[in-house]
Amino acid sequence: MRIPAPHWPSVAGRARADAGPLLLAAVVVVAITLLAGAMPPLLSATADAAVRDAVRSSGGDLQVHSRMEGDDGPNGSRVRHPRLAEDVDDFRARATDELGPGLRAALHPPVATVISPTLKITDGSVLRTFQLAYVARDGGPDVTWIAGGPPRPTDSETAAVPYGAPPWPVQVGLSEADAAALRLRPGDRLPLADDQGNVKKVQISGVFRPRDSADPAWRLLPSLLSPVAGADGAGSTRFAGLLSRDSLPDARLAFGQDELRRTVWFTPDPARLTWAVVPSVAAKVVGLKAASGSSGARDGSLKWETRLDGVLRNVSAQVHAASAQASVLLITLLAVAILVLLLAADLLVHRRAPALTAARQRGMSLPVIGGELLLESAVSALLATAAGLGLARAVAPGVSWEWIAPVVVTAVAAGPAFGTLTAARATRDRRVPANRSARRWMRNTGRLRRAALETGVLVAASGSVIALYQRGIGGGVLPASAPALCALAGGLLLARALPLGTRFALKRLLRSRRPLAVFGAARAAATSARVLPLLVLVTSVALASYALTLGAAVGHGTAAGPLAAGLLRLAWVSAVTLPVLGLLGLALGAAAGAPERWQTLTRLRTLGLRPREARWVAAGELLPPVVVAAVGGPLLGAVLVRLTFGSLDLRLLTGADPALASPWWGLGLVAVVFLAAVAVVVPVESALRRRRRLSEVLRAGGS
Amino acid sequence: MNGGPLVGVRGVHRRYGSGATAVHALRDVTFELAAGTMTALVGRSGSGKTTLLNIIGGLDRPDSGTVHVDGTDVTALDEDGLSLLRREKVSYVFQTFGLIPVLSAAENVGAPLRLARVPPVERERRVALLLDLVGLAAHAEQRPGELSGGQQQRVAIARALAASPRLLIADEPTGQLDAETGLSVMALLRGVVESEGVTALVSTHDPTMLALADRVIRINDGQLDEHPGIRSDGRLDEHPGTRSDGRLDEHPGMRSDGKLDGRANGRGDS
Repeated sequence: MRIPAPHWPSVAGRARADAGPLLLAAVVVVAITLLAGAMPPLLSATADAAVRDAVRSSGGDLQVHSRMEGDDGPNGSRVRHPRLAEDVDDFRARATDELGPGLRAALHPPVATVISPTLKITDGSVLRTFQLAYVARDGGPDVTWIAGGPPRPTDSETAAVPYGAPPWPVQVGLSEADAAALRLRPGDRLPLADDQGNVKKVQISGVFRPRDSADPAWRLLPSLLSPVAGADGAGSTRFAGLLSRDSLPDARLAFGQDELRRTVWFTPDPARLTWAVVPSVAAKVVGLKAASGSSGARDGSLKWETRLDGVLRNVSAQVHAASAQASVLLITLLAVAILVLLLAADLLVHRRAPALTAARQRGMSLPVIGGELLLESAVSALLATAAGLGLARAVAPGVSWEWIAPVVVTAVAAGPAFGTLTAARATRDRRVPANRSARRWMRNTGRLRRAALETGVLVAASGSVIALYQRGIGGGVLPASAPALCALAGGLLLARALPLGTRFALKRLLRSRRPLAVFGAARAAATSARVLPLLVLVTSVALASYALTLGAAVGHGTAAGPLAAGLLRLAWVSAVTLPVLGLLGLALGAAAGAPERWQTLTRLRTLGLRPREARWVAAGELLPPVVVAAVGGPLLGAVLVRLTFGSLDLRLLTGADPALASPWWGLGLVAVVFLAAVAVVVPVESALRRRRRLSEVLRAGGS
Repeated sequence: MNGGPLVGVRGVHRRYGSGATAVHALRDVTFELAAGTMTALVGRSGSGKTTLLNIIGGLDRPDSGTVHVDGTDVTALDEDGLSLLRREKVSYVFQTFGLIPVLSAAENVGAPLRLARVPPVERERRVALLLDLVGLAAHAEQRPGELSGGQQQRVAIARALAASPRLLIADEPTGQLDAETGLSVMALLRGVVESEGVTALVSTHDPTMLALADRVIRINDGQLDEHPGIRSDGRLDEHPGTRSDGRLDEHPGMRSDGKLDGRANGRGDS
């Protein structure tokens, strides 16, 4: 069977004739794919920054301690252990191995320390304390000895010390600043004693200068480089002496067996600790802590201490909340964009109905008609998508396909689907039945179909709210869709009410002496049953109000992290984009109804209606749905806020439960813009229609 | 004939386009219409009938020449002036009826009276009278979509008469109706010319409709060609269906005095 080929001149001609609506739909696709494509990578980058900031500001170092092996010798003595520094190196390597590759990659190289208890300087001064400290990492930290030399052993490498022997001498080095503050030189002894008054024999071997005072290793013991005020209480000053690999065994003997504290420090590297690795890092940290030995255990097990898991847990909760809140806003944008695209497709089909009907009646098959329309919509939608994603790539560190599918599918499929249905109706053997009950059955079937669709939306909206309450905002797409679905449901209810209102107004006005009001109300009553344009207006205004309120709540929050700022930006972008989409919907709806409207107005012109009066009548037709959106939209938005804000976990970003203050100036501005848009649409439409002669209606009845 | 000329058309030219592709729709058209007469304008498609009706009714402007309706120079009026002319002196009947779908038959008929700010009581009285005249009193509250084509055209005629115009212009008013319904509509027009004293200018393709006209004007390629069968007094000569006094003979829906039997016609095309 021969595959029917598209009629290319028809395809090109249709696209040229309807370039305006096609371009408008393409602009919507570009804008939404830009937002939807850029948002996830931007959110991910923001999450990375949030993780980095949280780790920087809250610490999150991992410390692992381990009791040193005993140094008991024969005959009630302690034995000097000359390879103690190698033991420290082994301990550091063992701790590093336990991290595993994932966690290890997110941390700076470890630093091992051996620190003595805090001693008092007993030279008569008050509140001056001293610690002996050994610091080691791979290749450092390096020092330069500017006086004297590094600490040396004070006895033979394997000396034994009886219990109860006099204090064991030990050498330490002092930094320039510490030596100057203590007025000590190489060879001097430092008078020290512990809390129990036990004297320590500490001699200054030399004075050093760090090669790099910014070396992270020094951060752990700043008193090694300079005196630290207040570290041991108000008015106190802490000093420290540097032990060498040679003097560390002497320091061990200078103190009780378990008095030196051996620790390996791991500091997170913010540059490598990204949002993507947070789950595995957090899980590993929790695992290490769970397997950690008890701090009281007198064995060589590793005892892990860190707040990193808590920091990561907090920032994860914030990122998840921000991500879910951003999803809420993105879904509102997608919902309104899809409605606008449906409206654009509806307008295209309105314009093309005669041509499509004629094509079908001339024998063109539905697959060929649908195929031609699909070709056109696919080309324009995919080009627009590519442009949107290209722009997203330019403004964001990457692009995401996750959210764009609904918009692209709608842009590609809606026009062909509507067009094929219109063409199919042209030749469908379906006449209006002569039988009254059959006609009623047909009417009721249509009503039931619409009612079923509306009930479906209401059920989905209710389900989303229940899911939001039960699972919270992070519970998936359904709870995140709650505001959008509820806005749709509210819009449908208002769409049900509008025809009743316009019919009531028309009934009242028919008794009046105001012809323009009567004709305007008559047109409004005739068109108020069109659901899609009203739905676009109401949902866009309601969701813009929602975004404005969300933005105001986040903006008033006490904790302004990067996450909160990112969400705030997205809220403002949504608050601007949604009304713009609504205004596009207004223009599309007006354009779709324009032929019929101006046909009536032209008929009224032949009865003596003046041109400016015709514009008032046109405004009278367009105003009711806009007024419903301008008044009902913000109210619906306020209901959505009351319904969902409690479950958005905003306090995780704002630091406290946000105040629900509606930004009435913003809501008022949106309402005014929509009302003003009617004042723009009508004259523009009138000017466009003026080019068509009034006389055309006399013969053809068209406008 | 009830009086002097109501419409005066002098040297009207109308051209569409320019240069070599220009189409001369009307060339030096000059004629007058006496008040209280019904004139049929006939001609082939594209001969210029609609252009001429549009220019007389102020829906289009000639390139040159003048049109006077009831003493008013239509070609000199601005948009507001033309609107006022249509409100007070000229009305139309469309081939496609031109009713407002959302309004009932009565409200459609009352629309010109609303524009003229006629008080409600008087407006309702006039609407009822006109609907009765066209035989649709029982259909006053029905909307156009609930009426047949003939009934809709009757509503359109009633609406055209609502503001008591001096000139009624109808372009192919039976174009979308079957022959029998079309004849009844033309008979209705004939009747209202008699009963309302209005001057009617009706374009038509259908030769059987010509019998109802007082005068026939043929237009051919934009130029007038008075019908050869018209007598010097403007009546049709020896046209089947017309009596010796020029009235329609034995047409259903017409009473013996030439007035419209609205009720009969209302049933006839429903």
